[in-house]
Amino acid sequence: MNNQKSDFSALTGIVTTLVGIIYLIMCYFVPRAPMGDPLDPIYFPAGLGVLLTGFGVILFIKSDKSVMVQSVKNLNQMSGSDKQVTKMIGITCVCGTLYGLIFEHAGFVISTIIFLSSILFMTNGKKIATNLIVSALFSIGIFILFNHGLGITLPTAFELF
Amino acid sequence: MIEILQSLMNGFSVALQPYHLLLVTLGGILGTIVGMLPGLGPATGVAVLLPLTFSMGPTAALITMTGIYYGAMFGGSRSSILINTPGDGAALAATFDGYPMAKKGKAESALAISAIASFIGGTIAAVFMVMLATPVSRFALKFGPAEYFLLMVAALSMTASMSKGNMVRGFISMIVGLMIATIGIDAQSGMKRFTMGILELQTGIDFLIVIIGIYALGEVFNSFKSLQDGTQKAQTKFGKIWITKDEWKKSKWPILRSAPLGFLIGALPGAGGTMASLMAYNNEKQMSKTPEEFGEGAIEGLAAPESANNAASVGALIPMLTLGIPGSGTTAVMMGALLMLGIQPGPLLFTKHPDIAWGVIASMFIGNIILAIVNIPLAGILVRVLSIPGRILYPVVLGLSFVGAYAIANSTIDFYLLVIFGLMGYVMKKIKIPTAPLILAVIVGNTMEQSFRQALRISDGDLHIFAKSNLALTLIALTVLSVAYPMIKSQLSKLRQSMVKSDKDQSKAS
Repeated sequence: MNNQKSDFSALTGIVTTLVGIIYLIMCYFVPRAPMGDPLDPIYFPAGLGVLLTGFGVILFIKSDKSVMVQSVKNLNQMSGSDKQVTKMIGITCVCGTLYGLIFEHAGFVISTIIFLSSILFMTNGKKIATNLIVSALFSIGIFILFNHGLGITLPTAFELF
Repeated sequence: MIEILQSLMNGFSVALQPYHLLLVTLGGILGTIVGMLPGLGPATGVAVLLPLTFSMGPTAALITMTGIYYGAMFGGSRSSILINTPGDGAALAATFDGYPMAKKGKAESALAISAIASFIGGTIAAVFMVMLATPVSRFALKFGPAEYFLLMVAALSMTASMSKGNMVRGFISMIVGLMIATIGIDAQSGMKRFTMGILELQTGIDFLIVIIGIYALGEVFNSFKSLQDGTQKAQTKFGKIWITKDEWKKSKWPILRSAPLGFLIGALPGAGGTMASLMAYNNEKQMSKTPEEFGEGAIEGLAAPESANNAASVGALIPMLTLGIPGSGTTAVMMGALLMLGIQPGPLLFTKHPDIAWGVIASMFIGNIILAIVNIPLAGILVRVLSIPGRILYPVVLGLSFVGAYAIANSTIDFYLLVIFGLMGYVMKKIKIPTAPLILAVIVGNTMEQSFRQALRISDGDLHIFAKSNLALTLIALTVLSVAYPMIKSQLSKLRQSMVKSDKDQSKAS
């Protein structure tokens, strides 16, 4: 992707405006206060919605629309390294989500070893020994530090330490 | 004055307790290490290391965090000097002359002067802090809800309008942050707002999750690019890390001049260390008899920004500790952690919890001494961290972020929020929307709304309450000025450019 030519201001403006409008619609559905002014919980958020919509419109008006079209086209011609970065971010997000799903069931140590070694396989390649050693040292070290040093209880699948 | 000195002495009695000394040293060393890592600045450093403070008391937690903060400021310049890659924006100016010095074989002098300048800058700023903290906090006690709301509006506007590039983007970031803060049960009416039926959102989104997501995950996502580009090797063997008499002669005035400048800029919301160090560098270059040496390894070109940068980090604590308004990303993280520990920074901090307030101020002096000791003789050992490849380091940072997020509320829902905010931080950087206004807004959002509604309740819904007192009018003027000034400045520079262009065209034509 050619970063110098990339400018998503117009698109950012559109998205911001849409978020502002959606937020304003959601404000309408906020329950009214049972006591005092019923609209009390809505004034402040409604003001924010109006402001965000306004700033979105300003950004769109100020932006160069032709550059944005080119920028969106450029997205399809991403360089190899940009594609790789996007893939890495995607994998990290998926791993993070799966980590959350197994964390309390598998316990901190096991789930963290799985999570960290997956990320390390992605960043460090197929250096199995290094990846596993780093993941295990980190997981066990943090577990001991938190559970015994800091008094913060991390979940366990079974009593190990 | 005697009262201040007495408070400071009490602060020293807190900060000099062996446990606190250990914490400030540990925080300083960890901060130095994190600060050295390219891409991970003080805000990320404090965010990632935050879980360490969860089980501590507020005084110990704040002392540790300030240690991490200063350490990161000290460490940020190591990677600038040795591998031409600043740890964070504030260390950018250290690349201008620090790296050329290292290339010329003067890495030892560069590392030493950077630590000395940081020490002096930080200490001078701590003296200013001692003198200003009490008067500012006493003045802030005069604020009613309307003034407090306007103060937050002014602080957020300044942060948004000083955002690099585009003010509109800064304001968008700020409003999105305020919107995030409105999610959850409304504290005053008990009504659910924007929870979308998700039970876990009823208690709102913890600002620490937003902070760790945007700063730690977002920065790691951004750093994935550098994994593709490869890393530079840093020099890890050094001779004696010290400076010559001649080098000291050249550096002392730039250091002394830049410290007050850095402190002042740091105290302004949104300005921060980057602006302070760049301004100090430019000032010294303009004042120098040999400006052509700047950029080629001039020691004063390294000393001045390093002094300003550390002074700014102390200055940034002024609005946080005395007004309860974080002026920078890092102080926002620290304030978030304090709020979690049940301590509300602000004017009452100095009357209700003088041990915390003055203990922290005293620990600034001690922290600076410890960091100078750590960073000069041990620099050679500490910089070995730079040889840890990013491909191992970044996954470890990710691991720390997730465990930190879990430790906040013992909930894995925060993992998903962390991923969302990490992506948000990455996208915001890509589309050039600054993240600092969002973070500050998330932190002060709730208080800001409560102050707004309290003021309206006092006035029975009359908006004139926001323009009733002189203080309120001053704050409104400050907000307008903070928005108008960058606009006027940009218009003037455009006008100047067009005049220069037309002059050139005329001279060509003639």
